[in-house]
Amino acid sequence: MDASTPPRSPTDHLRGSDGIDTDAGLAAVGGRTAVYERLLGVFLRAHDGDAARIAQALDGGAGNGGADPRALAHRLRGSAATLGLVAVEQAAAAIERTAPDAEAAEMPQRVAELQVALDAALARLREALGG
Amino acid sequence: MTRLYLVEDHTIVREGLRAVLEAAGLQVVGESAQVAQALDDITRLRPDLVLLDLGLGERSGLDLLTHLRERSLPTRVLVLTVSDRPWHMAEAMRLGAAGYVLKGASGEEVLRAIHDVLHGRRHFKGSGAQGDRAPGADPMATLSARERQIMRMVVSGMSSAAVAQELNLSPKTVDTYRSRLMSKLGVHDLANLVRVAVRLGVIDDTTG
Repeated sequence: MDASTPPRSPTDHLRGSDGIDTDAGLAAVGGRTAVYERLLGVFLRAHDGDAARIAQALDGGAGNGGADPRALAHRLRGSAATLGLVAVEQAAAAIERTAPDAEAAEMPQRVAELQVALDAALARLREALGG
Repeated sequence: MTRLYLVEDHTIVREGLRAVLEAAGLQVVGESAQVAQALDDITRLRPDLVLLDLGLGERSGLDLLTHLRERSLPTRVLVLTVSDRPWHMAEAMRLGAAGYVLKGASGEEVLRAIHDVLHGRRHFKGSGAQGDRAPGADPMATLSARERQIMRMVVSGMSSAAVAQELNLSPKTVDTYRSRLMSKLGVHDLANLVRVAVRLGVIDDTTG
């Protein structure tokens, strides 16, 4: 990097990434870049492993005292929607819609799609945030 | 300065909202992720406006709306949710919400909704159109507010005893409400009531 070139911010680093709409994420936090980037860090720490947790909850079935897969997907979806993590939001929403029927034939595919979307988003966040 | 209270159980969403509101010069006087605490706080703090999520863990923001209406508090309520189901919007309207905005809306849109609601206007936006459905098209419209509230609690898994304790009613009264609402909906057992609730969107889509 040229010494005169200012370092790219995490938000700049993420801009244009597949499945991530930084403009929407910034708009959702009032345009405050520092807040946006801090919340991306919170997302990274809080939701790493969510796809596995959802798969596990689905395997456990309802009523076994375990986590509710729909609630897990819902929480992930809400956080992703706020931060402009569009691909994760959409994949989580698909699971939320399907989750009342844990035995649904399409469920494994939905979970796999979430895993791919979440892994991609988290990898980009780690690169951008240096985590 | 306009005083706001946030009811939202997602930390990231709550912090994002707070950033938007504070950047706009609004004061957040409190926040909670739970119905009971929110009700106590709102009664005590009397904010100008409550921003209310509908999905609050095992409880619904619609329950909080019901309680607020029972207490006749002057606080206005703007619902902020991921649910675009017409039933949720219509129910929020029935229970006195002044506005309804979908999560994913920009901060600007949320602020516009707050402005509308604070100035006595209603603000209902989302794929549920304006939230109005002909009463005849909505079986839930045949239920009283109390029956709808008890239905939500029953289908979310609460026993009659638990509902009775929550609402300060006798279990027998709860059973009476329960029988009456099931009769109105044409179902005869809990399994079918849950099916109807799913079909109508009462519990199908987690309401956050």
